Amino acid sequence: MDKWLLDLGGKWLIRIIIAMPLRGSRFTPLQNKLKISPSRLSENLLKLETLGYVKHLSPVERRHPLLPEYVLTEQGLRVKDKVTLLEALDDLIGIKWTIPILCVLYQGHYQFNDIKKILGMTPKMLSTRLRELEETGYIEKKVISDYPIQVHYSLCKVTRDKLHVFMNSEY
Amino acid sequence: MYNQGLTVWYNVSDVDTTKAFYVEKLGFECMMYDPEGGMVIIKTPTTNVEIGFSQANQVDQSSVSTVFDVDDIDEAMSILSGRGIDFIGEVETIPGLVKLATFQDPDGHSLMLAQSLSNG
Repeated sequence: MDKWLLDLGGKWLIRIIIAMPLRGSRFTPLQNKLKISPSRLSENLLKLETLGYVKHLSPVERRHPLLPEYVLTEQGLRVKDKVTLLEALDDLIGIKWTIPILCVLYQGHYQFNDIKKILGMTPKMLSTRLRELEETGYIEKKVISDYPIQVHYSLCKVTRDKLHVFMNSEY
Repeated sequence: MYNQGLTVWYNVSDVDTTKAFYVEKLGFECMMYDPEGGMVIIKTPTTNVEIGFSQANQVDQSSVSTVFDVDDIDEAMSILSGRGIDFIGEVETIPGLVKLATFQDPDGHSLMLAQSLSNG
């Protein structure tokens, strides 16, 4: 599992990277684009900076107040490149763990305990996400045996197709 | 090479507050206002001299001063005081040159009024 996918779970981090223009952005236009509160944006930008995806430029480094306050680092630009390939799954970006779960399923791990172990998730969170994904038709759940109960999860064909380019592109 | 234009740019924490201060308190004209982009440009009484403000997450108080020339510093101070401007300290005089009165905008950027003391 790519580290960045786990780094960037949560409602805002990937969305901020997607919304950030290639040349970077000032705070206010980014805030208005994302319709996010200033404190939440600040907090998430700081997280992105700590993780090494975004660099905050000081007023001195910026030279002109209209120039970007935040720019993507090389790593941030690579992620931006990658996540644009997830556009077809746009609804799911920003729901914590969802994209990583789909990736793990794509890689052929179909048992609850395997997925849980790979992602280091709590059972409660994983079962909630799997249920949501099943209800919205992104994945299928099959009962393989009733006793002992054995369940397999797999991607629906459409989801697999949507993930294909993303999973097979370079990072 | 140079033409007649001059714009000074500042980072500010809130363009609406800045706009209200420069337009309503100082009496300047708003030339451009873009709340979505967090930008406002104010026209000073000097032709082609503008001050631009860009909303930023980090604002450092600038140590340079923008100085506005006035004919009569006492009169100007009394008008601006009436609009709620607080002046910092007393009027300072540089003999033979200027009288200066200091105040700040909402972000603490230093501003001054100056009355020339030189002849002509």
